[in-house]
Amino acid sequence: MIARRDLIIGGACAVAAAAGVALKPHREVRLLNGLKMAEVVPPAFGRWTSEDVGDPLAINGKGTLAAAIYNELLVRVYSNAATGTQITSLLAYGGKQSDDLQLHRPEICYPAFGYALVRNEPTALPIAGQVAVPARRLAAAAEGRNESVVYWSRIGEFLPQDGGQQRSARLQISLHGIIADGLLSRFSIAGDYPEHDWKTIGAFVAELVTAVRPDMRKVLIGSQRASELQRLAPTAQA
Amino acid sequence: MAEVGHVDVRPPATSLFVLPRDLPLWAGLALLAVPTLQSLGGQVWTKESGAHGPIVLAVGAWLLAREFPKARPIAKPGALWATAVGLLLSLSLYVFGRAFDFISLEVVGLYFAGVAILYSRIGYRGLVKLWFPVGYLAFLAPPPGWFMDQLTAPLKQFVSWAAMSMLSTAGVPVDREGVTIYVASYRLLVEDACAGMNSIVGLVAVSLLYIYLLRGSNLRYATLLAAATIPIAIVGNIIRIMTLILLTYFFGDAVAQGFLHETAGLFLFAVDLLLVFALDQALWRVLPKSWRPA
Repeated sequence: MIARRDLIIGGACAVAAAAGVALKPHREVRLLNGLKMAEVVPPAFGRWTSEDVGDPLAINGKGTLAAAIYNELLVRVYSNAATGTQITSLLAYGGKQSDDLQLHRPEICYPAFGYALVRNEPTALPIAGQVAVPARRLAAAAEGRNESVVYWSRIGEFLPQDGGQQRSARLQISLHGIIADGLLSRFSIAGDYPEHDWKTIGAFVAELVTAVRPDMRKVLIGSQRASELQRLAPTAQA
Repeated sequence: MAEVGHVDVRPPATSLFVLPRDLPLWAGLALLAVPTLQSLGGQVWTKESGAHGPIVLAVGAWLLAREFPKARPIAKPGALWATAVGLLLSLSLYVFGRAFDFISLEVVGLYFAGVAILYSRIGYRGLVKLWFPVGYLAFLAPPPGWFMDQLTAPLKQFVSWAAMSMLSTAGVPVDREGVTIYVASYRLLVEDACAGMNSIVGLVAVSLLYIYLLRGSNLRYATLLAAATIPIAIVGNIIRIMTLILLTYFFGDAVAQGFLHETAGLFLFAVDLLLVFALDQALWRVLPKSWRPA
C-alpha cells in the first residue's frame, strides 16, 4: 500500500527537482562578444612592446584544471624600450563562471605553488580622471625569487576584490538569471621592491587600458567604468 | 489537520525498499539525486579532492542496507511536523544550490532530504541506531573549493618543508627555489609533489571505514581514531613526497614521473591505511578495556 504521507513527500521532492531546473540561469552574457583577448588587448602601445610566452606559474596542458576553467589564457611579457622594465601580463578569460569553473584568485594559487605572501592587500588602480579599478596587490616571496603582483578580477559587471565578494557577485548574477563571463587580469614584476614595482605596474595598467578600443574596454574593467573612461579618452590611445 | 496526533498503524519498515509501498519516496529521491550525481560525476569526482565520492556513495549505501535490519526493532515512524520542517529546509537548500550552482549546498540539501525521509520511516531512535552509515554518507558533500584551498595551502608548505629538511639531514642534495624542488640535477614541481594533500578528505573517509569494519560502531573509539586520521594523512603525504624525491634521486626523472602519475594515489591510500592499522594495533594494547569496542 502506498501511504498518503509518502505520496506527499515524493511530490515535494519532485517539486524541488523541477524548481531547481526552472530557476537555473540560462542567459549567457559575454562582454568579450566572441572576440579573442589577444585581439582586444594591443601587443604594443606607447613605449611598450611585448612577446607571447607560456604561463610561468599555472601549468596549462590539456586536461588540466586551468584548461577547463579558462577559454583563453594570454600571457605576454611587456618590455619598456625607455626603462627596460619587464612586466608579465596574464589575462585569463572564462566564458562561463560557475561554482566549479571560476576564476582562481592569485592570493590562493601563489601559496599553493610554494610562494609566501609577504603583502596581500586591496588597492585601487587609477586609470584616468575619477575612473579607478578595485584591485589587489601582492608581494610574493619564494626561496630565490620575489614577485610583485597587481591583479583584479571581473565577473559579469562586478570587480570583486576577494573570495567572499567573488562568491556574492556570482550569486547576484545568478539571481538575475544570467551566466556571466569572467576575466582575471594579473600583472607581475620579478623584483624585490614591491612598493616601487606596484607603482610601475599601476602606470602600465592605466596606459594599457586606455590603449584598448573604447568599446572593448568593458571586457577588462566592466561596462560602467568603461563608459566613464570613454568620455575621458574617446579613442584608443596607442 | 486530522492527521496530527493520529497514531500510525502501519507495521514498522522491514527493509529499505518494498514495492509498491516505498515507490513514491524512492522516485522522489531519484528525481533529486540523479541530476546532482551527474554534476558531481562531471566535476567534483574527477578531481583529487573529491575522487573518494563514488566509493563513499557505494560503501555508504551498502552499509545502510546492511545495518537497516538492526534498526527495525526500535523503528517507528517519525513525527510528522519534524519530517515536514526537515524536508522543507533541506529541499530549499537543494533548490538554491541546484539553481545557482553551489554544488556543496546542493549536496548538503540532498543529503538532509534523504535523512528526513529516512526519519519519517524509522524515527529518531532508528536514525541513532544507523548513525555510522548515515554519518558516513555525509562525506558525499564536497567541501567548497575555497575552504579546501585555505586548508591545504599551509599544509602543503609544511609537508614539503618537513620532507625536504628530513632528506637534507640525511644527506640527499635537495633544494627548493620558488615553485620548484631541485634534486641533484632534476626538477620537481612543489604543486605536483604536494598534490596528495588534496585527497585528505578521502583519506579520512577510507580510514573511518577501516575503523568501523574492524572495530564496529563504538562511538568513543571511532572518534579517537578519526581524530588521528588527519595527522596520519599529513604523515602519509610527507612519506609520499620523500618517496618521490628519493625515486628522482636514485632512478631519475622518468621513474619518478611514472610513479607520480600512475601509482602515487594508491600508494598514498596504502601508506595511510598502514598507519591507521599500526595506530589501531598500538591503541588496542595501550587503552584500558573499557575503551574497547564491545
